Amino acid sequence: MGNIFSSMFNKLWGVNEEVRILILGLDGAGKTTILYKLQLGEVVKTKPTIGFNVETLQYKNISINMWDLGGQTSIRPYWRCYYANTAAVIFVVDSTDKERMETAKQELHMMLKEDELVDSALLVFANKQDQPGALTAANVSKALGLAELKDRSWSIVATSAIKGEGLTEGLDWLIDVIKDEQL
Amino acid sequence: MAKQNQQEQRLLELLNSPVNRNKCGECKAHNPTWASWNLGVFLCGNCASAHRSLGSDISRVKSLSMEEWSHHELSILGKIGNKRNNQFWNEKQIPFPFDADDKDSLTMWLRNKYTGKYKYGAVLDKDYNLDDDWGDRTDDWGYDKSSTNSRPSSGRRLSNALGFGSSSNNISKNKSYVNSSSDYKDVSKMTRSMRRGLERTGTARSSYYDNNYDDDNDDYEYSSIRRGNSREFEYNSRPYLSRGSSSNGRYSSSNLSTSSNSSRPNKIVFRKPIDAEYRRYGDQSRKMKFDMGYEDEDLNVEALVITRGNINEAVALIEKAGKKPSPFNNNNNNNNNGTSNTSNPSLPQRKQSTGAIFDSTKAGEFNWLDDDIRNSTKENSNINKSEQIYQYVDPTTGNIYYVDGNGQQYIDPNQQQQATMNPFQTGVSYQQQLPNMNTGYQQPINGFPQQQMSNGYQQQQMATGYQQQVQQLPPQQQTGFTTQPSTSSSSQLTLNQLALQQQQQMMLQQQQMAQQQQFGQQSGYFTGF
Repeated sequence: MGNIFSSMFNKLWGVNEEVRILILGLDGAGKTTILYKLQLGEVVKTKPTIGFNVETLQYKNISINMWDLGGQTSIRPYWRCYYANTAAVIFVVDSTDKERMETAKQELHMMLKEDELVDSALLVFANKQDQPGALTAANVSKALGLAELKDRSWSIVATSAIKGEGLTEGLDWLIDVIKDEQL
Repeated sequence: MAKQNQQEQRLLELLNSPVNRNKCGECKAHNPTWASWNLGVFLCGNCASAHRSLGSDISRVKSLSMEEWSHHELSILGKIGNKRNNQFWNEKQIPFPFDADDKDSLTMWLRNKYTGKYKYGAVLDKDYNLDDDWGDRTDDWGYDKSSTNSRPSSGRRLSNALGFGSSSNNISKNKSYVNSSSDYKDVSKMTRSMRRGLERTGTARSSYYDNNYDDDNDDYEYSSIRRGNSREFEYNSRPYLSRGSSSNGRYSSSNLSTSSNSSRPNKIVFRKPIDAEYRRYGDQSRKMKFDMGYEDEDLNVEALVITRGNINEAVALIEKAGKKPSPFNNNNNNNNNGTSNTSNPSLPQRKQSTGAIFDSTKAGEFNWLDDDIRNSTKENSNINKSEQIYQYVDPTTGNIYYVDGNGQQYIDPNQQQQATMNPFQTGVSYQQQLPNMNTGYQQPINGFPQQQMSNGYQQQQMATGYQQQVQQLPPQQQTGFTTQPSTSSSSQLTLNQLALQQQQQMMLQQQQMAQQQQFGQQSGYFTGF
């Protein structure tokens, strides 16, 4: 009974049951911190992720399945195993790590070439804005060559996972895009 | 792939090197799986997590197994290592906060450590081995305009790779970094301190090493440029490091291994290790002491310093070195050698005069409880010196014997007199004895058995109210009666009696006076029950 009502309710509001989102990025960019900041609303002490973390969170009537994959160099090749059925990718960049912007750019573009991710939206978090010396979102965008991206809805948001700034703005945009594409 | 293997090989070498010992450089946990390459320290998972939270402008944490390591990173990690990291960043030797519940304490400790709070000198940018100054000398979107940094891998140079920036003032690659140090210092002092909001003073002396990274040179040896006396100044300005803890603590470059080998002694000279060495090798030393029976911690630490903490080798060294020159046998040697003289711990001291059994004051000059054993052995061998006399109390009779150095026995002349007074041997009644006790027998050495009897005896007096009968009866007849405890030896003293003993000793005189009065009144009063 409850199922019927809820499915009716969902249909009324035009909501899919679950959306699958990947959180990717180089190691130490803050992916796990962002995931748990969104899920728990608090900053947790993270260890470098080996493997992945999955959390489901309800956001604006959408239940989002968030996959946070480890970003170490040698486990990045395994990202591809998770690409299927992914509605969107959140790419997290450490804005203070200027040295590895190039690496991040390469990883990003390599990832977006994958067939399975052709339809997925891209949200870039220029993270660690609370740190002094962090690049602005615009600079990160240039460094990552986002302007080169064709046929893809993308956005970049300056965030601070520790302060929780920018996360919901980014997620709002992402949900809007997902809704648009699925309707 | 071969390159990958090389990196792994190199990482393994570094990990197992004596300065790293396959341990986390912060908490000393075994088998670290991470490392901060720019700070040159290996890390366990916990500490890696805390390190990462410091931010990438302080620590660059990389997995040992899941990352690719560049030559640049490997060389810095190799040149620093756990040991030198701690010597450099934790000069004040602030202990690691082992508190599993309080993760913040670890983060705070690390943050303090790597912002120079545990150092005496100032911290500069180049101590972090991150030679980018993006935030301050950058163009409109954050990339370095001058691009003077000398990086080993050209791929790191974003500005070139991306085609941005690089107006390239092109100060010649290597030299700019060090030789134009005045500019660099100014900028770095300003920028880094502004960034972290930290006040830092001091000069450029706090650098890991004074060499450049050579872009074209692919091996781990880097050309070392030294700036005159600055190096000497560095050593001298740090008392701890300059005091020759054998591997002189700076992050010296290519000649590290040779210099440390040459300055490190490889023989035990029975010196007194310095505090830092105690702290570093205290654990191993205690392990040797308690697990393996090598009691002399000085010696252990010294051997451990030589073997860099290898217990097995240290034991072998100690065995090889043989016995420490003993103070017992040759005092003269020690007088010549001031250091080892002071290093001898004092022998354990016993408490003085253990009550009645042994009395040092009565036993002649020699107090064998307090004096060194070696003296007594000397006396034994030295027949002429017969003044040293042992005292011996026969527990059953209460007689006191004296034995001199020749093994001859004597009996104290007083003792014989006393023995005649012992009522259980001679049948002399208490009435006669008590006045004597009053005069001379309260000292524990002479009067102990008698005293005990009198104590017990008096207690009986108080407890039973039979004092008149008891006092008048000859002691032989008292056996089996209420005075039974008084005939027993000291081992049968009850706690109660012991507690009363002291008090009674003080009261003894008065009581005996009173008793004498009683005797006067009571004599001929009672003849039996």
